[in-house]
Amino acid sequence: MQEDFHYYATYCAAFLAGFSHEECMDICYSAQLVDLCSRSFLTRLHAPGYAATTQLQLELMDARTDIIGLQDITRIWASFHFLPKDLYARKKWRTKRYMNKYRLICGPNSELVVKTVELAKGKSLQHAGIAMHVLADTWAHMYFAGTPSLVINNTDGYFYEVDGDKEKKIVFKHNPTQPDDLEAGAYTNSLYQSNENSVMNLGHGRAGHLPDYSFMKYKYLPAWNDYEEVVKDNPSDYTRAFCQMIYAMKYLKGDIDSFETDRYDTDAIAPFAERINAILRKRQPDASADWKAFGEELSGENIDKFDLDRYQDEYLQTDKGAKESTFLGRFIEGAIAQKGMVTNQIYRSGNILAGFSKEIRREGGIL
Amino acid sequence: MTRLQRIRAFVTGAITLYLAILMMLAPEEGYPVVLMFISLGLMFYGIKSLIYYFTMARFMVDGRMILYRAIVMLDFGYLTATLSDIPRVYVLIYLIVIHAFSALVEILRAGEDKRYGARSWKLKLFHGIVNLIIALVCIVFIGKHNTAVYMYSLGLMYSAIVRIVSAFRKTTFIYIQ
Amino acid sequence: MVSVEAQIRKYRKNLTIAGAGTILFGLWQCMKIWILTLWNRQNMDSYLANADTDISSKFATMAIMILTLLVYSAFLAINIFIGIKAIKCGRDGKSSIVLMIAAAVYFVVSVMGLPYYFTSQDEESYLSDTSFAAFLVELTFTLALFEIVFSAIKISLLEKKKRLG
Repeated sequence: MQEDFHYYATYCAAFLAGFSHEECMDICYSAQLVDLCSRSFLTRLHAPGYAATTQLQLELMDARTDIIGLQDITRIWASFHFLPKDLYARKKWRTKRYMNKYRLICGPNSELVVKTVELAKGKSLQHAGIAMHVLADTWAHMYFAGTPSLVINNTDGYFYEVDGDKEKKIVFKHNPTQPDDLEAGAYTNSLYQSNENSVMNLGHGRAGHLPDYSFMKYKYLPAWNDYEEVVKDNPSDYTRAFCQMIYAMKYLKGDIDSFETDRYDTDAIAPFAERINAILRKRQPDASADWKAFGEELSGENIDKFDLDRYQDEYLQTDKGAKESTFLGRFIEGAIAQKGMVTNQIYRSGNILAGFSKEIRREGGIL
Repeated sequence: MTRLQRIRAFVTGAITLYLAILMMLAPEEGYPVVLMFISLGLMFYGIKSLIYYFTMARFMVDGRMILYRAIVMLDFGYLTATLSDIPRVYVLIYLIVIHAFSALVEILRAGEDKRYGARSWKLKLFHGIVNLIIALVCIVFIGKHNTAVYMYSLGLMYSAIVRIVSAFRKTTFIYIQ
Repeated sequence: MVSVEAQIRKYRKNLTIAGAGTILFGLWQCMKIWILTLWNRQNMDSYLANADTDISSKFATMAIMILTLLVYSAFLAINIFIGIKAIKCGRDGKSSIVLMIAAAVYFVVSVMGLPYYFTSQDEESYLSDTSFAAFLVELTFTLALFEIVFSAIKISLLEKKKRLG
């Protein structure tokens, strides 16, 4: 997903869940920050690099793909953008090596998303924002894995946009500087790389930006699905993601006792269903303006544009011992907790693709 | 990294370093070794691809092509091994191309790193300069008899040292409850 | 249970890839023979010098080289024909009797040639460097041809099943 959903739509969902405008701003800012909090960003702040929630294009290009590098990549992407659906999945005639990657395939309504939301309970708004980013991405990024893998994340030329009964072939180009041409159906994706562990085979690179366009309904052949096609209905998935975020945030707020999978607060969006549906189905690469307008109508307040530098001075100027109480300090704490939990769960399932994990019990903060 | 992986990385690096030094000390005897390494490298790539096909790629859509490519690479590696008298200039050209390309990529990436303010740019620049020097030395001394062996050995020594260093990198992620 | 559509897709893709593989193997075999022939001219010369013939060694070498290259070029042409036909059939989803027959015949010829990799060879022959790797190439190529025939038949049967509902 992109800024339109992680920032503005999350604001709307948080407001519908009952949070105040200021709380919504903290939550949505944190949700969007997950896509920008790279090692380079943290280095500039002299903050711990292992709290990184993403890797920039440049960092990915430079990332080593030896065992250590791969574990580092997997820890970040599986924890925040491609939360695994079933760490104990079974498939006949597959080797352990294959299953380690297969089990990292992302999907919604997993045990891990329950743990993600529960981990944020009673914690900061920043942590809630991180959880909402992770939850939303389980819908957009399903069928792809947060680890470099040709055998899981590869696709081929079988890509069709579905519009009712009509199907239109999607043509991919490999020119990242050229924007997608939505009308002509010409999109950019990552180049085919036959190396299993190439970063070009990370996540949904081979499907380009299609998973992040809320209006897109398309079908394709995932590499892992035995030649069965999957139909990805983004408008429907994004609607469920939105409703599930409202439900999750009501739980975090304390209005609901437990968070369960496959539950969606459709009642909360009922008065606005048509409006939300129109935003999601509008054929545009970025729906930020529409979501912003909707959010401002809901709350009657102005939603500031996302500014990466907003909280940096606060963090830099605070003494080391008090950094945990800053906005970014709380975000970093939430990020480390989320990464640790997911890494630990992957490790406990017998899969070392995210590296080794030690459990220790400690009082006090991380910073 | 498990302890075993660290030990393996260190031992592999140490053995490679030792062999590279031996080759530099005896360049005439070292040339057939260079050819053997190149052909073994190709054969190893073929075998690795075959293992990859049978353990992973055969479950993938369009995976069969990987099998075909693996078989051809294996045969190519074997063919290279059977050709015992490849002129040294071809080996030098191969080294020049490999190192010059690596140097260009590393230096460009160092520039981008510096623009982003990341501290890793110095290391990347160093890698780039080392590769560039090797490529330039190959060109300057292309007429000399043992250049291929010396430059190949230098490249081996460098990668051996990098592997030894990686054996000591911290890897465990602490999960705090 | 894999759907009929998925199976058709699978065999069409297998057909396309086997076709590409056939072309790849043909090109590789041709290239290998070129390399071996050019690199082993001195062996060929010494072979002919020991052979019982009064033809000038130089011209004989050239003639045998050209003949070898022509024969392998003919094999390459057949490979390319079968490969392109297979790729086309895989993409269109339509069977071709010509393809099935050509691939089947070539498959039988390939299978018949496999045991020769294990029979003893004349030590003077410049092609005596036959190896396990070369056998693997030939075996995989044979399997690719089998894949073409099998996939083409399966596609026909599955399309018929799909039409009958």
